[in-house]
Amino acid sequence: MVAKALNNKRSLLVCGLLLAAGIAVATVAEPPKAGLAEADQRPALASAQGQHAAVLDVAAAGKRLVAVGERGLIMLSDDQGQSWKQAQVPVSVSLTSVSFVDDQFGWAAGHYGMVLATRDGGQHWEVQLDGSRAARLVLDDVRSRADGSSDQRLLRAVGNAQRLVEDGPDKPFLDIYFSDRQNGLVVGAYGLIFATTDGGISWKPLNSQIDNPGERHLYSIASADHQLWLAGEEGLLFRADQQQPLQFERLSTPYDGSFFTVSAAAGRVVVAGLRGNAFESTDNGTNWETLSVPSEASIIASEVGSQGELLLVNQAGQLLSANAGQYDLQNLGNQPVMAPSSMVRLADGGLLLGSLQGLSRINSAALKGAATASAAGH
Amino acid sequence: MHTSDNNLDLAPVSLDQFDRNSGNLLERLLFNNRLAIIVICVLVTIGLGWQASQLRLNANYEKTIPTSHPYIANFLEHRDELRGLGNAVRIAVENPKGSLYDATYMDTLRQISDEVFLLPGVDRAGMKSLWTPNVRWIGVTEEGLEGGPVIPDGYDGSADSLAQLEANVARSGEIGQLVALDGKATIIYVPLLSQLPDGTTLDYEVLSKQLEDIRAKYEAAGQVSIHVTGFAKIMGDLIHGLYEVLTFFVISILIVTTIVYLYTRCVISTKLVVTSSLIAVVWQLGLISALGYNLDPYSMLVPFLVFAIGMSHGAQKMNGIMQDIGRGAHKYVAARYTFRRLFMAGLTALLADAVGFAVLLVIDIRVIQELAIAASLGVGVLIFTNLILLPILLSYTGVSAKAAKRSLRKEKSEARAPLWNFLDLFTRRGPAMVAIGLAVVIAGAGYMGSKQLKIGDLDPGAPELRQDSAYNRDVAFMTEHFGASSDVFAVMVETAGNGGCANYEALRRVDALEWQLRQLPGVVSTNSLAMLNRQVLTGLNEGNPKWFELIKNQSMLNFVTASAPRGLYNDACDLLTLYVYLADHKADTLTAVVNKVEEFAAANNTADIQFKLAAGSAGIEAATNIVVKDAWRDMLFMVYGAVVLLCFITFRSWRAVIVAILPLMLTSVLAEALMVMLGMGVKVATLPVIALGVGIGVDYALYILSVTLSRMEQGESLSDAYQHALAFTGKVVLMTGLTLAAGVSTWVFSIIKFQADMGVLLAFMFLWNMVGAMVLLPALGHFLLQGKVRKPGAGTPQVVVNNPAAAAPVVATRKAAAAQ
Repeated sequence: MVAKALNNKRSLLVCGLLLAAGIAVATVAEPPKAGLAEADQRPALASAQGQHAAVLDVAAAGKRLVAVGERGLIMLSDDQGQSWKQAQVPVSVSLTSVSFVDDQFGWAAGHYGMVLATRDGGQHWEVQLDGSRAARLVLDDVRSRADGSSDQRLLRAVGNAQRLVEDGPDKPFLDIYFSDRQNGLVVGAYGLIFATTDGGISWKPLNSQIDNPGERHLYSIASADHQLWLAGEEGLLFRADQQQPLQFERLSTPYDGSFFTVSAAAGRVVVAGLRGNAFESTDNGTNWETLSVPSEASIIASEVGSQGELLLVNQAGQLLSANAGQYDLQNLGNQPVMAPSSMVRLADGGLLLGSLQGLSRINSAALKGAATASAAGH
Repeated sequence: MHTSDNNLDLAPVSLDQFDRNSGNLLERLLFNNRLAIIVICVLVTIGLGWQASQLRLNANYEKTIPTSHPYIANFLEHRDELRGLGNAVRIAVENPKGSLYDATYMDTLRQISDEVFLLPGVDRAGMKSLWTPNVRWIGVTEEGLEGGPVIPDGYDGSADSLAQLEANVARSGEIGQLVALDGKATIIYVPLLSQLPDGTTLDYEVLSKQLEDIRAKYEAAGQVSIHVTGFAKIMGDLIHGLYEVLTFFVISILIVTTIVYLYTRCVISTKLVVTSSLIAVVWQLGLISALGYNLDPYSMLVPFLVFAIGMSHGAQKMNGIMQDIGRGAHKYVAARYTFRRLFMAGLTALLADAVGFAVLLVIDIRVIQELAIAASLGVGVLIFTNLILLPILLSYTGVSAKAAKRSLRKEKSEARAPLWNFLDLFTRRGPAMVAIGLAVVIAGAGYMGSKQLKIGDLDPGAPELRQDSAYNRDVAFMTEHFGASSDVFAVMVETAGNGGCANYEALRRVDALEWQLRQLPGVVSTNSLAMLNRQVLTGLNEGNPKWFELIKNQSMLNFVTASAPRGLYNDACDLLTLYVYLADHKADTLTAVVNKVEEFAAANNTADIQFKLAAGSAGIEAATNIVVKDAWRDMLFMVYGAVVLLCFITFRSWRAVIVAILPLMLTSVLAEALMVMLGMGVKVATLPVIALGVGIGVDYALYILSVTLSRMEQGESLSDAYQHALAFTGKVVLMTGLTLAAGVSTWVFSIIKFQADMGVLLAFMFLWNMVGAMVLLPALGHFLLQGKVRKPGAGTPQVVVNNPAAAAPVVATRKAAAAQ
């Protein structure tokens, strides 16, 4: 609708100019044509080449695998990634993240501030939140807080939120996580963070409740043992406990570069990111051990297994693993996958990797050294 | 067209009995001033020979582009702005024994890189190899970006520096670009200047030679193997091919000469016929040089045709003179008689050929038009050299007496030759039905086969060269190791108005089209400023792939555009180029891309943003295919129209026209089926073949049918008339078919693929037309001509003689009959 309104405005302007120039509009004006809808209003194109398109996240929905990626691409596999079929998606924006709570209910997030939801195991998707609405939610939120206040910080926040609305939907969500069919969290660029307690019908901005004054990107959400972890730029790491859900406490970390991924399981939390920096805590984030990583390539995805074993994938496409209690990661020496983005475990212990080049599978034999199945971290 | 029979009834006389003032004005003018004519011809030959020596070989196939097609017009309009399609050579240096992270390999690569750097015509600032300082790695740090040349500081070939090199390469983004996917080869990317610093244009032949020298030098050392691709290399190989074809010409001369000698068994006159045919070639080359044309891979084939046609006409002249001499005429008298009998007929036949070639002029592709002009000129020149000069020369030399006697003797026995008897069977009902039935079956099968006929070039690699040529093997290497497609289809996007080429409205349309195109089966990958935006946004966000999107943020788009390589947009920022890399250049692939872009443009073009087809090798080929497809149909209509008209003027009978045309049509259908069998598509090179094949092919029917008809008009049965026609013209038809086929068959060995294709097709058409004329013509005659030929009425000429082959034996046999 926004795009249409803009187009109408423009054609009015054109008409005005033509009239001013004394040209007969009737003979010059083109008949209105549908034109190209914006990416956030254009259904995703059916793609025959989906498996070779850019895949930005992969997840499991029960026994089904779901991959999301560029231009609204969502693909489903019921045979552990051997064959894929494309879902119906109402938008063509790049989808950066997908999360399922069971084999039916799932959510996907992406660019243009987009959140999509499915209730049929990923076959059909509907828009729950878009960037324009998200920006207005932030503005309403800070306005209600700043109402009558003279706090400079709040007034500045109102100004920032106004700019957010004016910018339009140019900011992506980077990760989404739902703990059950009601409760979910989505984070993104410039510190965007929204929570829902009604399955995504309404979203509440948390920006003003989180200690991220620099509005740094939030890249990754992890959950374990009733705790939520958030990681982002400039060494940002937050934790929220079950007792005070969505009350994120900022933790200090030994690194001030970007964290792209955080994973937690079996009492072990791992954050990793730029230039192969990776750290582990076994005491809820109070103390951190530096993991020794044999490559300077940035780490893009991570997984802590149920036994505490660790698997990382870096941008050089290398798989790095360590058993529980080990701090030296070993290169598994797999054939590197170009520009990987994400990974998920297969039922047989193998791995499905998403990358800018598409999907690839690594069988379990190639992963010896890394322990077996568990949920993948984001 | 009609020549009175009485003209030809010439008694063989000795020189003193001969009336020098007999014959028409032209004959008297020529033969009473023989020396002057020879002197003039010598002078013309010297002049045109000098001109011909100025001819340049030019392999530039830009002339094969249909310049008036709107796609090509768009391309030509933006040509200078399409930098990404610039002229560059890629040299892949492979380590066949291992990886590129090897001290010896790297050292060899440096030497090659340095040597290439110094070649004239290389745009040194743009040249890239692992050893040039412009190939850098980039890494993201907490503070921002860091980077440096991929060759590490203090590189010494040690294991450490090689490991550092490998790490740098991994971070350089050059894997799949300069570095092979399997790490066994790297590319030296060599952009070329169109003009050398001294103002001369780059000589591809020289450059290609220099590259070959480098290849030979370093491959000889055994450390590396080298693969070179690029427009300049294709040009170099084509020019090399042209030189080779020049040697084929010599072979063709030998073959054709042998055939003519076997036919005449007279050394003197064979020499004269060869000489006069060669003079025709010299004149033809001199004339096209004088007209300012170069010798290109197409016009290069004209001398072969001119020579072969000249030889067959010359042999007929010789035959006439030989028979007159054999009957006792003086050589001078024999030459004049022959001239008197054959000049008009020969003139008609040659003019008909010339008209057939001239039909090609309507095809809007320059190289074919130049071929048409060259071929028409060549045939025109034959009128002077082989219809005028040759009889004059023969009037001095005569023929060997033995050969003359032999020709008479052979002729008498020929009427009983077993082959002729066999062919005569087809004038009867049974065999005629079998022949026609067989022809219908073959035609049906051929037609079914020909339905598979595709438009365009079908093989991978550079279509100008053979698939197994060194060049196309190098292309295959590049495709396999670098994932690079040699078939690039470029869409031009004109972006007027605010923001120009960086405008979100323009970029999002390009982005959407790109994604649509990538769904087509033949599309391997795409590239554009929109794609670059996605990649750079990822890079700016510390390489995190989640930023792979064209975001709706104009200042970000402007920022990215400012640092983008110029190949993706032009200096004025009002033109974007969308590159579509294809798996092949088959017509189906190209058509799918063209249709998709047209459909998208129709729906999404705005006043400011216009999607325009088409540039790049595949884009130009797509436009050429469209033109060729139309031209193929037009060509068939026009050539057959011309031939039908010619036959009708000659025979004045639609039945005879059908008899003459149907065998030709069978040949055309079979030629198409043959193209399918040989995996050959309809392309620029096959267009002239159809015109030449049909235009020259009809000559056989003209030879045989004119004698048959004139005999039938005199009351003979079809069988008798056909027997006579074979006796008079059979050998000439056989010889013509063989000389023409032999003349073009050497092309089959050309390294230039389309020349080889043309050779195969033409040889097939020349031979099959001959068979068709000898077998189908009597069979069709049985049903169409038997009893239908009107007896000559008042005022109509008694005998229709319109070609040299028919004329000569008619006379000869009548003489023989009178003598009995």
